[in-house]
Amino acid sequence: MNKSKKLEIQTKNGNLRNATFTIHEESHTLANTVRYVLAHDDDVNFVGYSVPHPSEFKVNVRVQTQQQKSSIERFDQALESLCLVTNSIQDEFKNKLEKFKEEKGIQKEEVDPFVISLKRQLRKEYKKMKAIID
Amino acid sequence: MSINVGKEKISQVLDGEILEFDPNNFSENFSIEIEKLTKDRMEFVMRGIEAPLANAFRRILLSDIPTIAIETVSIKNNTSVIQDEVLAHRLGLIPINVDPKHFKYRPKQPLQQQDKNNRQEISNASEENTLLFNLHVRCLKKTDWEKIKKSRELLAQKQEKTKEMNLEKEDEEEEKEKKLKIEIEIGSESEDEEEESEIDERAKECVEKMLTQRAKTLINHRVLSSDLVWVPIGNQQTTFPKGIKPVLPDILIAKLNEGQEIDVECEAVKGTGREHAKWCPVCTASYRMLPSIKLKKELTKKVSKKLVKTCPMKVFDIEDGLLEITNSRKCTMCRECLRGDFGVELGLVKNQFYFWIESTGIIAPEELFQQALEIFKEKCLSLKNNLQNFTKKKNSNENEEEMNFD
Repeated sequence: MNKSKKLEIQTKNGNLRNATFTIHEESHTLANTVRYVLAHDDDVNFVGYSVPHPSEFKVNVRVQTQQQKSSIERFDQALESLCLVTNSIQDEFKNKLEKFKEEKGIQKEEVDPFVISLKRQLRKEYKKMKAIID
Repeated sequence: MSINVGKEKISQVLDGEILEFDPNNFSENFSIEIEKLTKDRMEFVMRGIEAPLANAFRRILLSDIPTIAIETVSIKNNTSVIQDEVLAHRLGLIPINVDPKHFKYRPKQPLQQQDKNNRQEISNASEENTLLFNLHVRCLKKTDWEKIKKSRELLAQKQEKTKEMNLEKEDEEEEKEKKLKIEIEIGSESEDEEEESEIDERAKECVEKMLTQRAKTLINHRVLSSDLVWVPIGNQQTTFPKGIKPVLPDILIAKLNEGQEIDVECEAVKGTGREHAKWCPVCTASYRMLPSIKLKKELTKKVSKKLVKTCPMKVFDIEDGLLEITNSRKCTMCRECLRGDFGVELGLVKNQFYFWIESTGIIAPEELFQQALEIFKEKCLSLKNNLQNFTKKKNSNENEEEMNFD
């Protein structure tokens, strides 16, 4: 079976300063993020993306760079930055989640066990009533 | 010649400052605060991130995280009022409580593999990629059911018992209902105080009125998601010793009348929300930007009191004679405060997002977010690999204009 194409690059006369990347099996999720990162890149003159048709699952990303920089290299750098950023988000989220769970754990111990058992009984009775109604 | 698009035009501006994106200093400005975490719902605030990234995570939560849902329904008998396709659609939407990490995607069936001589399709289904469920429910009158029960008991005394699943269920339900009724009766008799017995009688009357005619005379007139029975294939019994059930037991699938039956075999498969919403692991995942409210001019006491009144969400309050913004989080951007001449400036903080993730119960919400981050990273890395392969190829073929590759 043939693997489907993931990436096509179109340039004029092989000049890598300006290129259009056609990425298959991708949508706004990745394309808008890459565009955002490249827009803050000083070496990039122009960046934009489009979804040629909503029924086709692909995006076109256009990158035009300054002077002698390669657009492929800039694109690569953008993806690298995104990975770094995602790593720091992951770390931050893990830390905050652990902290939150610790605090929550302490709160749980303070609750009266009698109250918990009462709540359980009430829940059971409610379920019974529901079953009768059915 | 270089063309420079001014940064003000492409970046978001916050308080007159341009929001920069610096991947190396990202963690300095970035913070998360988890506000609420239950087993179904998580609410948290992300600061220092901008809309493209936040939206990417939201989109991945909706469409790219895999779950398991019923895909193929083989209908052996359906004499209910619900049409076959509607029943199959409803079964697909039931969330199944199983971790999709244990499963692989089932490969799509290419037509060439079908054996035309045999007429039977060679399926790609295996224990690695499919879950089997059985649903067999028959609705009977209670009196008829008792007769059937008696005759069955007689038979069973003579032969070996081969219990059908539906009869077992009907039996259990029958017993449950009987127990409940006995409990109510006992409850009313054993009360000593007059008040309590009165309340119980009243409750009994209410319940009797609420019981519909059907519920009194029929068994199994409602087909619930708890009636779905998992059939383990291959190793699945050892991988899932506790069994596999839908997330909630009381999802109504269909209603039956006397004599109607549903006998159906379902195959559940791994998939993503992109293909069909039944595979979506979240009820919804959404975010909003936090509001920024500013007072531009000093107001007299009278006017400030008026402002406090106009806000329906009680964002403003007068403390120590001064007008203050106390509950800016509650602001719903209704713009009532802009109608009068209060000098209020209303806006959205472009780099603070209040995220909430409501899970369907299959995967915990905190895990969902972590999976979304992981999937995003995978996308970036796989695209990076493709790019690197491209540059390698380019170095070997320098004369081609357009280059395609796998």
